[in-house]
Amino acid sequence: MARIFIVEDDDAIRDELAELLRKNGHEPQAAISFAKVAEQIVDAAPDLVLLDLNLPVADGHLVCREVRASSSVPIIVLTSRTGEIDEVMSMSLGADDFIAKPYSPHILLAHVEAILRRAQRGYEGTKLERGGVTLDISRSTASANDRSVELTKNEMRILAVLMRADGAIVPRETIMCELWDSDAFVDDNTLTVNVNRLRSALERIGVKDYLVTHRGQGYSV
Amino acid sequence: MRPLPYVKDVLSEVGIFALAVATADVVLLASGSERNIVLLVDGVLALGGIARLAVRFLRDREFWKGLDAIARMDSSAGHLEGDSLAAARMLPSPEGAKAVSTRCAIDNIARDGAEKVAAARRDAEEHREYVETWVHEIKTPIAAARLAAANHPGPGMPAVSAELDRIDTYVDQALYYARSSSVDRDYVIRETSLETLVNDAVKAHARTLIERGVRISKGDLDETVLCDAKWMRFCLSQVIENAAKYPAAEGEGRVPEISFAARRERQGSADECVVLSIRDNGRGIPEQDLPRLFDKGFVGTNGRAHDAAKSTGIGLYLVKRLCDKMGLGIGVTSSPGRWTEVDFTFPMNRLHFLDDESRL
Repeated sequence: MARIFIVEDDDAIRDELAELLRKNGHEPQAAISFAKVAEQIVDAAPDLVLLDLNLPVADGHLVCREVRASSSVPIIVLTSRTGEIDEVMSMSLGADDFIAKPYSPHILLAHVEAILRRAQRGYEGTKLERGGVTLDISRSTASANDRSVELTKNEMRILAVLMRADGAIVPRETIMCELWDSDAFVDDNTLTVNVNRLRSALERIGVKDYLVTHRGQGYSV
Repeated sequence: MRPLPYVKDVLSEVGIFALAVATADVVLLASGSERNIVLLVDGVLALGGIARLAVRFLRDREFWKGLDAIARMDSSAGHLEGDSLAAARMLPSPEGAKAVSTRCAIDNIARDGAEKVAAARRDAEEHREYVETWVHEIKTPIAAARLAAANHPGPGMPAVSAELDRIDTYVDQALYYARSSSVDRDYVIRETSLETLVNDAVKAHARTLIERGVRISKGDLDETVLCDAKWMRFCLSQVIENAAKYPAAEGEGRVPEISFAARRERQGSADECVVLSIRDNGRGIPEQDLPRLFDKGFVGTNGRAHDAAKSTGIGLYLVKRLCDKMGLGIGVTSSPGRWTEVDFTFPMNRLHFLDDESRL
């Protein structure tokens, strides 16, 4: 869990971003106004800042520099500008990472996780919990009943998507997209194999019937 | 203007003059003037006439010469020295009344033309800037919709996400269309991992490909190539989109597949290059369509087929233009009904990219 400060002037993006982070076990907080953004950030003392470059009052680059003057909080710049200059400028003004819109939510979360791990020594990593099963994303282990089992990357990703969905049915296509996002271009058959392996891994720590197959629709936990 | 055409030009004048002199001669002889005197008068008149013609020829010679040069210019060549508007303004000033009014008229036309060209350029530039701004603005709602789709997973969401990807592809197409016609050098040639390029392009179409059950197979892509990563990603995206759009006819029973592979060609020579081939097992392209694939607005047999998504004929045209600008090669081969292969050729020699200013 990390406290993440969002600086984004588009209401829709800000709200969805906050919800996405909340669903993934973080504690989001958004800038209330765009005057003195840097001050708000420093006062809130978050673990990470998501900063949009196009802001109504001060330019994102300026905010970046002002924050850096008094804080070393990790900053990820989000922008729809695609120029090289923006990327270079953000980095030289002290941003830690740069993601271009429209980013995939999975990619964004992966970047957040990576930056947090780099910035905080002993960062515990995000843990998802549901129905007695805990998934430690940074260690790629699932635990229950005081036992834990190591999962492969694909198994871990599948379990993470399902746990995030919080009981709702996740279509097979959505799970495959998540896997493709991390360069694993699995096809339909491979997904079935991976899900079966995940089931047997969970059985090894005493969790049975945790993954539910909904024929023709997808899976849920 | 050269002397000979000039002489031809004034032949009728000379004829009329000679006729007048001859008539005068007859009258003078008939009225009893002396032969020698008449010949002398003739000589003086002829000398005067020739001198007059010579003066006229020499006086505006440079001006006519300049005009001749403009007339012979090949404006389609597009070189700077072929710019007739610029040349017209450089014409020497003539003295003859005819030449002076010609020159004035030409000046006017040239000024007018130059102003219109400048205005058109300004408009095009403004339009391009607008498209760029618009593209950046539209990315915000797309990003918001993507996040919303991720936050509310459900049965309908993969379809919505796939549509968002399509919107994104078209938006990028508009952006690169606006950029491709610009004379600015707004790309950066850098060392780029071929594998990353391919992965990113496939990911950009993940939903569409998954929805259509397309299998991805990757050969050895462990190469570093010289190109602009963003432009190349766009090019690959267009090719992947096409490969997914035209699968084999139903009933053929083939699982659609797109395979990526890289090979080195002409190893050890100065023209050594890496060829990235993207091959699908789709319906292929009829032979008669192949030569026109990169033409703007060319739709082809597949693009008009009723079961396929509508084609705009812009995608491959843009890919070719961007490749030309970056100095990369692109070629398409196909076996109708069986497969299509698109090959991108990346020169390994850095010197190849030094002269890319001239390609603009």
